[in-house]
Amino acid sequence: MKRFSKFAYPYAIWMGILVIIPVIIMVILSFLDINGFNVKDAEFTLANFQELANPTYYKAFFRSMEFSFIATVICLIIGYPIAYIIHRSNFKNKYIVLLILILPMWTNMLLRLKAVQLISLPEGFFKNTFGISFDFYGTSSAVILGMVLMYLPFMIFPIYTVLEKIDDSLLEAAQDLGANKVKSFMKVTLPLSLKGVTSGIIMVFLPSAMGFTISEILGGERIQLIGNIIERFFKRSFMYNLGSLLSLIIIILVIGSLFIISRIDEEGETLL
Amino acid sequence: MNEVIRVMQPKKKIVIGKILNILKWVFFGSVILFLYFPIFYIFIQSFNASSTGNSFTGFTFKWYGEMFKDDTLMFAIRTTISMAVIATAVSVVIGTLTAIGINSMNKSRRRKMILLNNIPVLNADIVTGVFLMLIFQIVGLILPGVSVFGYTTMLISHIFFCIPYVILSVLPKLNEIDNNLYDAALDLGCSPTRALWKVIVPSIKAGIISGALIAFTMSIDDFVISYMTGGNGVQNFSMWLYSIKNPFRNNAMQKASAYNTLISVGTIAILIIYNIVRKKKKGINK
Amino acid sequence: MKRIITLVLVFISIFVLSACNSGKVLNVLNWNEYINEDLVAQFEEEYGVRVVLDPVDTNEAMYTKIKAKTTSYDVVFPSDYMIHKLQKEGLLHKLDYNLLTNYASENFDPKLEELRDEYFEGNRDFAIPYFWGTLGIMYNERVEGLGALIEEHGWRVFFDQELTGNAKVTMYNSSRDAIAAAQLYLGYDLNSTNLTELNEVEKLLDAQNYHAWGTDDLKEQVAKGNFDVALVYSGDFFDVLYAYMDDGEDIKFNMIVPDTNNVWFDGMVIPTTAQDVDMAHNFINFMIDPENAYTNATEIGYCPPITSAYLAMKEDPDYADVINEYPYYPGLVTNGTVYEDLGHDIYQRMELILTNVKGN
Repeated sequence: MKRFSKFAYPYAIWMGILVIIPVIIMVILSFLDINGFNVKDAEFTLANFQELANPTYYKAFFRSMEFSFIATVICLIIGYPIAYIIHRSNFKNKYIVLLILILPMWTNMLLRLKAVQLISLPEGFFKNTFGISFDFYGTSSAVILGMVLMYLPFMIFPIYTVLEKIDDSLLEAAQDLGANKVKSFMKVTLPLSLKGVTSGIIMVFLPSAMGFTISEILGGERIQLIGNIIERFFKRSFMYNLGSLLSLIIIILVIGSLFIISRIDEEGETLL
Repeated sequence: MNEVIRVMQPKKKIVIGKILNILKWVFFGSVILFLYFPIFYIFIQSFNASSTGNSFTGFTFKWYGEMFKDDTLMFAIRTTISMAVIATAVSVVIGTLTAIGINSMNKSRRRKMILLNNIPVLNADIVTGVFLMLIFQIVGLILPGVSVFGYTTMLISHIFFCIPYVILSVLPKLNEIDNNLYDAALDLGCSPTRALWKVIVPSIKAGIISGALIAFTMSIDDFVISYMTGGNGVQNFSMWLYSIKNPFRNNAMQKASAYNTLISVGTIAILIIYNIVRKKKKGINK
Repeated sequence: MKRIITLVLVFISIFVLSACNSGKVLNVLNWNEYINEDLVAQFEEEYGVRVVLDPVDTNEAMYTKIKAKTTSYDVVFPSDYMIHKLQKEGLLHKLDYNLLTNYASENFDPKLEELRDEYFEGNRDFAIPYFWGTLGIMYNERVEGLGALIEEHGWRVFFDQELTGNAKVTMYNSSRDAIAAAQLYLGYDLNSTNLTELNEVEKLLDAQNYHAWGTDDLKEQVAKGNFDVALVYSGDFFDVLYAYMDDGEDIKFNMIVPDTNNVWFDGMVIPTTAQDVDMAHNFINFMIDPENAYTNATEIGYCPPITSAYLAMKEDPDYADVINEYPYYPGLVTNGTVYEDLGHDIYQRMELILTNVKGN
């Protein structure tokens, strides 16, 4: 089987190119006062680093962390019980229940967000048809609600998968040894399900912290997360140097967390 | 709490148990309702005769027809679907072969490859998008006068982020199969390629299929990366929707809802048919 | 099973191949909802070309899109100062007036032509005016007394929360315009490069707590009553007005155009990235045909710079009342300032101000 290791080489090279070259470009751009890629008029500068000392950026960063933390906790509080309920239920076909949970994911995310946006405005369809009116457009709650709505299934599925893998005989053994339901859950089920919980947390926390669509569509463009700022610099303000610097900081953080994860979980199975 | 219950009369225990049971299902139902709230809105608007979407003025199928007449929307839809199909096909092939390659490596190399593979998965969408956009722009600088961005750049980007998911699905299955099967096939006279195709691939079929499904879903629903790497008129459905500022102008929201309802209904239909076919097969085999 | 798979694959291949579109394409970078799409369809038929409209909502984003080269635009519709910036950076093709057969200088509003000549040297070589207008304060009439408040205080309504109370005040998500509103309130020159003044503007904007920031969505939300006050471009109001008149919906919104204001015009230009310069000229030529300009103006709420089209709107029974009652003609503003290009450093500073003030 060793001979097949060659198959992985093209991919390694392709990934190398598509990851390393942009990082080099971004590092170079971070040190330049440049208008686009006009290398002729570029000047070396540390002004970009100075600009980043501005509180706007770390405020946005902490706001992103705060929002996604809250969203993740909510997803955990809701998601774990749901996964557990399905796992312990007597549904004839659990797959149908899972399907019902995954179906919203097959609706385009932007479309769902637009729908929530329209629901969150006081004057509109719901007011004129049913008389109920919501008014939470542009609030932090709207953004966190959006995050939970989009990513809750990503918490439920890993936990459910891991729960299903737990050998029932372990639980029986615990109960034979005198543990009641609550204790056997705490001592047997919970610890064994932690891998799924970790997966779920990662799958909810990372995209919500780094995204910009949810905060843009539901936040009335008032709530700036770090993703919004990066998108601004690359798509609306033409400041690639600042954008590159910010992105590099994010990358360092992501790679840092990857290292920590790979230390804790040696078989590289957390995401599998 | 449990001690208290044991001491109480059996009837009360049953009542409390029933109440807890009801609460459990109320909770479950509320969560499902919560997840479906936006879907419900989308579903209704696709049949709502109102052109401004402000209230329900009647039932109609006309948005389903209007959807096909909207050239820009149809082009975006065709781009989305065709790209998802091609990207899935390509990434499944490359991903499976690469996974087989990774599986054959020694432990430390393997760990490094998996780490490398996880980068697009964990990396923020927008940063991956920036990476790809920068590379394509550099290519554009080297080849002056050529308009780089378009279908090809978007497709390359989609393949880029789909492959890791295929690898993540296939690797665990590769772990599970018995290595001896492959060696046995070689012993029996198979060439390595044939052994690969006839022995290894079928045993990891489940992983390949789930990888393909994940890749397809990721591609068809992608926004940020397509947003960063599309251009010259090439856009996918998400990009089209994002650029619409007033959802009911030109009835964009209604048409988008119609498209979406079609896709959801279509997918459910495919699944039901697949299940029926499978049951029939099982019935026949019995 | 295999047969089904083959059928599905064949079907998909046909679908895929149909996505590969051949034929001439004209890439147009324009503002949202800023061109009559029936007119575009007419052009497509007449010239046998597919027009792809790429929407954008600020001049700065337009600049970014052109510089990023993710699309090779053939025709772009920037505003006055942005045209000048692009012109100075050598990003525009000179117009070939031989190809613009519909052009005649007399056709265009004399006030606007004066403006162009006074402020933008060389503008005539590179741009043809498309629509012009001013800034405006659009408000929700359902809120009692709001109109009178705005009439009396003007730009102050964006910077005084005590004054506006619970009203939902929103701001335009464009650096130049948000800063201009502050400058108009503080009495500063809209073309000031004074960094101290800009810092003060930044502090003022930062202190505000707008209900939302938006661009083309603001007008619609004010009309519906979801927002109460919004900074808009003057034509936005008429845009929604026409749509509501067509749909027969109640009109409970209005607009006030203060006399100390910004006057602007948008122009059609051909960037150097244009793939088909001749067809780009055809497109511009098509738009300045007075008949087409009139058709365009009947749908897009802005004031056309082509005099005959403007007069036709004034006499059109469907629009005459509305145009004569509300502030439609930009030339009415007596204390208007035109944005000038302030250079790349100020451009960046203004963009950073917007990024800084939008934090919650």
